[in-house]
Amino acid sequence: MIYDAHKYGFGCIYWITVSGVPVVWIERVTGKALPAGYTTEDASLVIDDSAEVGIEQIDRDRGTAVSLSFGFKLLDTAEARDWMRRWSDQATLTTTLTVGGAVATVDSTTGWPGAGAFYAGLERITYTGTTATTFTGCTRGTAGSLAYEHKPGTTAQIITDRPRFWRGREVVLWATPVDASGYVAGSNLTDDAVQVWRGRIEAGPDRDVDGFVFQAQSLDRVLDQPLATQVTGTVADTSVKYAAKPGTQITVSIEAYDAAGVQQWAYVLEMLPFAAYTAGDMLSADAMRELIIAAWDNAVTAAGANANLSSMRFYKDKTIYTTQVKYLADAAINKIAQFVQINGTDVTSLKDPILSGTLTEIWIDLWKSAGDPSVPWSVAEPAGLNSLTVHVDEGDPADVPTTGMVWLGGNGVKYSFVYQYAATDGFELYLGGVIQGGYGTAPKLTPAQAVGMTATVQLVTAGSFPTLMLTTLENSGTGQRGTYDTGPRGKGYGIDDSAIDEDSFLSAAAPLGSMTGTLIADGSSFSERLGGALGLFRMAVACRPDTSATYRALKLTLVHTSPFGAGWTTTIVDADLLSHEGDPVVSVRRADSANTVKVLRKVGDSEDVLTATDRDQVDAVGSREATYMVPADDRETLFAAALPAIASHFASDQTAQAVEVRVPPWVLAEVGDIVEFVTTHPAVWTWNTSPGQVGYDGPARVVGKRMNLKTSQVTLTLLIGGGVKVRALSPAAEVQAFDVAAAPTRIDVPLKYLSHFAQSITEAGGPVKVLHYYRIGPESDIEGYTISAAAENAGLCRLTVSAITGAPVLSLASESYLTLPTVGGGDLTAYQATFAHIDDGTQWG
Amino acid sequence: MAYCYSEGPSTGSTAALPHNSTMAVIEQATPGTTTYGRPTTPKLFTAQLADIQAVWDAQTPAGLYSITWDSAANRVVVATTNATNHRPEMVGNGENWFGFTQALAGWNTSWTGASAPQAVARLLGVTVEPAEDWAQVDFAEYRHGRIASIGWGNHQAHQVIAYFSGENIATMQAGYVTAGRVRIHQDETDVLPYAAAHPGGYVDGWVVAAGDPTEEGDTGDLWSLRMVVAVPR
Repeated sequence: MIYDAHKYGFGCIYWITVSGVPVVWIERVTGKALPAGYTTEDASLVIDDSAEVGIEQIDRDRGTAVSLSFGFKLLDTAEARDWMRRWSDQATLTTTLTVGGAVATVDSTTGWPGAGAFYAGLERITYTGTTATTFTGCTRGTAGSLAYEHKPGTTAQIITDRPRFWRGREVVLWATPVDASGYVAGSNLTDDAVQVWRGRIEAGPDRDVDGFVFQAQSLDRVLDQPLATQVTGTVADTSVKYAAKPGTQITVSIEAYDAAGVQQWAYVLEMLPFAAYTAGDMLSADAMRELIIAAWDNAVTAAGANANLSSMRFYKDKTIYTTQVKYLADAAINKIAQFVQINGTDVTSLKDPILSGTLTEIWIDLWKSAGDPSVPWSVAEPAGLNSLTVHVDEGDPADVPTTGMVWLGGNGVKYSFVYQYAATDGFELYLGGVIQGGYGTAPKLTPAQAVGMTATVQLVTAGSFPTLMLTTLENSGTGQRGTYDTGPRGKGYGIDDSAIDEDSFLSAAAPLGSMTGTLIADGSSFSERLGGALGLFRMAVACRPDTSATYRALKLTLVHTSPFGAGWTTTIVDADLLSHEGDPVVSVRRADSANTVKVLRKVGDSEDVLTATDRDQVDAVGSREATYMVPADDRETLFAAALPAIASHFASDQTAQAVEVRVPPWVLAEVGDIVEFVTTHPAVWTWNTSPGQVGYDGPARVVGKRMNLKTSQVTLTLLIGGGVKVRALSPAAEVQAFDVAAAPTRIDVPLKYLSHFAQSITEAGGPVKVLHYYRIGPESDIEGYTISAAAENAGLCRLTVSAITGAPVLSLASESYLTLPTVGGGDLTAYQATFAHIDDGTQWG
Repeated sequence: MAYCYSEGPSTGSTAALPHNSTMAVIEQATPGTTTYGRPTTPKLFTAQLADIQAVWDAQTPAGLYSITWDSAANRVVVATTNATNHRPEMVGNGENWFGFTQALAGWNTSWTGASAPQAVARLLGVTVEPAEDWAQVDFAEYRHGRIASIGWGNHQAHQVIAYFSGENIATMQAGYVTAGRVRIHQDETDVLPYAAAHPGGYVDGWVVAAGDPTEEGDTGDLWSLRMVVAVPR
């Protein structure tokens, strides 16, 4: 670990990579080999102005980390300026560039180099050649960017030779060790390098006097961002529709014969009724029939048959439609023969004798058998609400799964439907085979009532909770982010699995690891969907180093947040505490612990609530409620697991305390780890051994870790089972005056110490001993005074001396001090014991 | 005198941060074989030399080696006692750390560094103030920006002023002896650490703050550098 070397004079050079930008932005040029895909290093990075980076503290109730932003500046170098400039080449996509597409078709490549790179949204794509309207030999997702689909008709259609925007690009902050002489070890920049921070740019570049300033937010903050996965719209139509097949060809041959069998006329009518449509367009059966009638008329005219054949009409016979065609009455006609083919296949073949010249209609069956889906125009509209045509207002209809659930209605009554079939036509969504049902007592909707209502398609994901979490993290619609990238775009954050410690999720223990649930995407965030389950079982998702991965890669990791656990990764002792900037251990105020916990199981319209109350606490301090929403499938399973979890909350949260501890970077503690914390520092006191014992010795859960980049100083937030006091250093009172140096009867110290000495005397029920020492000198109980009274006198605290221990000599020149408490001697009061002194006589600074 | 940082295996060309903790040797009889050596834990410069020698020996090359620091000449000497022709090889920044800044070519039975090793600096004198309580130390100065800024609890600090001649400025500025863990001898022959009862002893601790070399007088030959050295209590 590079930070161990800090003890021996090493430091580190920081550098960042920005996804899609093949430049290593670094503090100084090293000349080392750069990571693959990066072409140059530019000494323009300034990170010293950044606030601390890392996780301030995990929100244990919401299951997410409260992480800090990273600010950096790129100095105004030629390289930086070149990347901040407006693009010079631009083109527009004319067809969809699929996620794996190697050829990008655009309006024009005029002016572009013959080979190079272009940007489409956040993705950088290299190409090896061009034609007038294409970029060929495309390699997708280069320089750390991720490949995804780009459609014409959106802003993603704009292709440029420089990034159009920086927001959303991933930033990784790296540290490469450098020795005390400035030498960078190894031949590659990544040799011995580690990742320090990972996130996405949220603001910038903003122009500063000498460069460009950026702000980026940590990767785990993404989990609070809403996912725009809803598909909503207005019901425009309820008729059953079918996907148009533009190539459908209907051929009708009609021949007329007289009584002697002599053909009087014959026509072959070719019809392409749906040729004007494109595949996938949705047509109702009525619309199809009208198109066929129109095609018939055209075919009759084209064949010059108007003298013998008239129009066609469809005749409804129960649930089947048949066709009727009139021919002009002619007494000579004795027999009509007809042959019908659809797409070259015989449908009907009939020779009808006409017994009298008065028959003027012939029947042409444009279907082979009743209900044949290949000829939907033969099917009558079924009764009731069977289909929905929705004009989509929000979301991408392409994201709608082929089967699923849809809600009709607004904020008031909601009607729940399942559908068996979905198709899209631009921004028109067709849902077929809909069946009202499920939950609630809402009455059956009629087709007329449905028209005009708001429809919300429910994008549903089901599985175990680890799977649900991974799916929500990885889903991008591309299938390329990892094993769990299986859903449509927008259903997840599209985070690559290289930034996710999948094992930490998949190895989650029961009950969370084995419980199954169902997510209904409703525009909410990861935290809103799954934070309740994480909080209930005291787990959280945080961005932390994968200590076994190359470069200690930072990954979203499922961690525990309870204050207790087995085994610890390291021990933090007094010698690890950084004290040169102030108190190394400070207490952190925690949110009040809840004494009423509600577990809300909610999947779709299905809701159950379990409420547990710590009655004693409620009686004492009133109800403090916490609610955890868990989308679990099974009520019994959830509630059986929730009860012990809630009991654990009640038991441990009353005593769990948080402290911030400043340590050097080589202390190997990461968020979620259990560490052993052994300290004599007075800001904590052990709760579970002798009462009031200063310090702590036991396990602690790391729930926060942040680093000052400039000094490498790390601040850990630890959750411990002890109690926390506010800072309680032993009062070390500087002697202001006295009567006799060697044998005083009174000693004056600053008035602010009056309460300390008075309290000690009160608690002891009599005189107490105080120690005497000179500033920076050693303390011991060899020299001291017994103080029988403390009172204000002329703006000072006057102490009355009743006895002297040893042979102390008061001195203003040597800066005499008096301090509480003494050690041993049997006069240690509980009040004194809370102060900083420990039994070896040393003091905290 | 600085401590080298070292971790990982004692032999082989690769280890974590192997820049100045490793020195290798090639013998004329077996020019295709490189014998590496490094301590497996951080060591004081002189102890590091002994460790490298021990690691070489353990690999039984033909030569019987001695790796020493000639304090009078302030040079590192690599030699064989059985007249085996060899050539030392510097790994990473070893050339500066050990002082073998010359081009290493050919074969010989003894090699002396062309320069003073940067892991050790010769002082004309040094003053060591008595130990102070940690909280009283003013960390206003930082050496090399963020390198020397770490100081931690349960330590006491000594204010140290090192005086040295102009020829050693480069070594002092190189950083090895003014950052990280160092040992400062007030008297080279004194093998006891500083204590209240033994104020002439060496100070072995961590440099938590250091200033820049300051010229004393105007002859250009006497310089001083202030440091704060933290020693565990």
